[in-house]
Amino acid sequence: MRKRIKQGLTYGLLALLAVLVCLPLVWVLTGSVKSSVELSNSLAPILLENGREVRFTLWPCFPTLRHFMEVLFQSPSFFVVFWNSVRIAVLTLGGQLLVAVPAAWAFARFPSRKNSFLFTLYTVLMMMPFQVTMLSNYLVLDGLGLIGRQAAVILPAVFSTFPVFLIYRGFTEIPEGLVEAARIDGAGDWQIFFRIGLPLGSSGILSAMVLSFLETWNLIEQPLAFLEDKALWPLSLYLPEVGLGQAGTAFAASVITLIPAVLVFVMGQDYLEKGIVAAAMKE
Amino acid sequence: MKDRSRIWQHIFGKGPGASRRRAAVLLGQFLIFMMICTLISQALYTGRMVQVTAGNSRSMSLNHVVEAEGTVQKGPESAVLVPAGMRIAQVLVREGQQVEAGETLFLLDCGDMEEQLSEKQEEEQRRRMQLESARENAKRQKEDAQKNRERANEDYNSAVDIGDRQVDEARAAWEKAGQEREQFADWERYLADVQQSDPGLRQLDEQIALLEQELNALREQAGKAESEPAGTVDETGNTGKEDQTDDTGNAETDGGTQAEPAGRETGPDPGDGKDTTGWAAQILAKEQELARARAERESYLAQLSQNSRQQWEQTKAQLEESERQALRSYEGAQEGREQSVQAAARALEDASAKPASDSSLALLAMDVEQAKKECALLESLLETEGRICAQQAGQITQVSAQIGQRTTDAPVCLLAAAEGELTFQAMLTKEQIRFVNVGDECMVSFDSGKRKVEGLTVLSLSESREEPNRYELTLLLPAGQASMGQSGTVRLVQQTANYNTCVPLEALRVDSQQQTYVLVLSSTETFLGEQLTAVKRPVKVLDKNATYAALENGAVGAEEEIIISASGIVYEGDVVRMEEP
Repeated sequence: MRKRIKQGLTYGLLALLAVLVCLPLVWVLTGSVKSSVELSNSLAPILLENGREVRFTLWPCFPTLRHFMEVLFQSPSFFVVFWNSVRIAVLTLGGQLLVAVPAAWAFARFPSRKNSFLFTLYTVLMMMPFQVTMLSNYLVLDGLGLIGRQAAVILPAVFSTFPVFLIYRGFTEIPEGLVEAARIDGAGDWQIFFRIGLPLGSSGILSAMVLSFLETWNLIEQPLAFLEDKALWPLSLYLPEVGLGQAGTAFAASVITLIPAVLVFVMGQDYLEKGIVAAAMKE
Repeated sequence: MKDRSRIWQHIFGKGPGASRRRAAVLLGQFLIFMMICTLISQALYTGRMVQVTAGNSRSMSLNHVVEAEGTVQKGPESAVLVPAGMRIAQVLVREGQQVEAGETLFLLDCGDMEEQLSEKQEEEQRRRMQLESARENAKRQKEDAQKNRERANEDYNSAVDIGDRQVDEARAAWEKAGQEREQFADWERYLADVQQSDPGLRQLDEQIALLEQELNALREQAGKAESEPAGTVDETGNTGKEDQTDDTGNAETDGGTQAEPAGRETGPDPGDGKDTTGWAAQILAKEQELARARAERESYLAQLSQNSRQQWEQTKAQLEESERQALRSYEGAQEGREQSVQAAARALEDASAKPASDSSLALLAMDVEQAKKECALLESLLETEGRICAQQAGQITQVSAQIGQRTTDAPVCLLAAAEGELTFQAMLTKEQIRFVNVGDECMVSFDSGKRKVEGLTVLSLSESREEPNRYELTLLLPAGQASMGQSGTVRLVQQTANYNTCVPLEALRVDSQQQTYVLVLSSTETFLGEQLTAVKRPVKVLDKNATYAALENGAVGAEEEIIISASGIVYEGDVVRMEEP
């Protein structure tokens, strides 16, 4: 009995926390199908600032898909920023695969004092927030003539330190004996990397990719700082441009923005869990 | 079929990685769906976007073309004039009648004209006599004026001469009196002169001199007597005594005081040189006498001085008074000269003044000429037996003379030319009349534009009496170009001054507040890149014709593109695109 009550309380608390976490998402979903009049009435206190409370109902009185129609068929600018986000994400992930994976393998399989120092440096850089390095980044990119181009967002992300850290963790899980055995069998470093390292470290690689995708998909500061032309902006900067008078369109655009991120997360959920577990485990 | 079920099972079946695979498939489908939506959205957006044509403003002048329909009317009318005051004996024509050149239109009363002629001739004679008389009078007046002028000039010169002379004389007298006064003003000098000329004083001086001589002589003798023995006689044999007896005389002084002759006082005989005491006594007596004489002289001198002083002062006062009188006379002479000269100058000025303008002579001459002309006119009319003929062939359009009436300044009838120039009349609206002026060049086309007559000028513009707010345009057509009653179209082109900002008329728009504006293309940065948006620009229209409108300077820049036409309705802020060629 006590065990059941305890279990019930635990589940209840967890459910409450889950509801609190999921509530904003529910609002977005329900707001995207509410009519404009309903949304205006609910959100008017925000616009008028008359001290009244915002009353946002969960269930729409007059559901409509008009906002989705507006976003999907009457807002070509939405697709411009959507494909900008896709381009930035794909190029960033591709670059990270080419750069971060070999770097992590080197840190994991070729330990030395120099490598330890570099890795420590990587860790320190990883912990620095964007605001700290923004000015130095701007100066470097301006000197390279990349300001105002999407490469100013993509290249710094490609050479980001966070994926290296995650993938490194995965590579360190590979038993040394396996590598030695492969070496004894005559495998070279590249063969060991491609045949043993990549398959066995895939969980770390994929978890790094998923997190990188989520980070890149939600980039705000870098595009805002380095991209002046709105035609190059990603989806994360489109939503603030939609005014409160177009709240339904904003909700619909938010739902559509959410879909790729959810799908990618579902795709990489297992690897993400594995990667987190691998990082937490001690050898 | 087996492959499809395997794929289906692989994707949607249960098993390890099934959810991953489903998520990947969904992501792929989502991206494909987004691609399709992208195309559809872009197509719909582009399809909805208004296509426009744009152009820049230009600097040009506007041509205002005025076209109006009209008809050929009768030619210009000429007035048949008859001198005023004539009596109409017969009216030989009526309105609408065609007449030939030289044909008699009216007959005037010859008897009445003869009477008028004789009256006019008498009047002319009268005026002529008046003119001659006036001329004679004017001539006489002119001569009199000349004479008066000459006399006044002579009087003036005389007044100046006399005045100058009088002034000079008075000044000389004044100067002389002044000199005399100055000369007499020195008292010391006057006294010296009086003393010098006074006989009494002279006598006293002589007496004193004599006494001094005698005293000196006595002293000498006394000296000799002391040093020489007694009875010494000088070389001449005379003693000093004899000298003493020669210098006496009678002295008469002024003022009643008689100076007693000093007389001779003889002393002891100095011949006796041994008597020194006697010499001293003589000397002493002589010295005492001399002293007395000197004292007497002094007294006489004082008296003389006192008397002279009084007289001097009297004389001085007289001289001063004389000088003052002379000065007054001089000033009086000056003043008298000025007055006489001024009077003479005024008289001369009056005599030289131009006479008041008198146009009576000219008026009389004009009257004479007028009378002469009237007589000549009456004579010419009598020579033609009072016939008033038509100067040219044409049609009588108006007859205002009646039998028995006297003519006035108004024409007795109006005659429209039969051949030659005709008039073309057209009606213009209020808007059209702004661009038409008398004298403007125009063109008329007949027969639906097949035949054109160019090089015509606008003869007149007047407001129509029949149609309000419409205006009649009249121009002359050369002979042979058209026939009366023919329809045609008149066309004028008026070119304005150069305007800096001209836009096509289609570019002008009017908003709900009746404000004229144009839409200017502006590049704006959007998520879709650089796009063209329509920006509203209020403008003020200065002038416009059928194709262009001139705007106020500064409304639109020369480089700005203005939306001229659009495939749909364009509002301010709309995104547009250029029309496909």
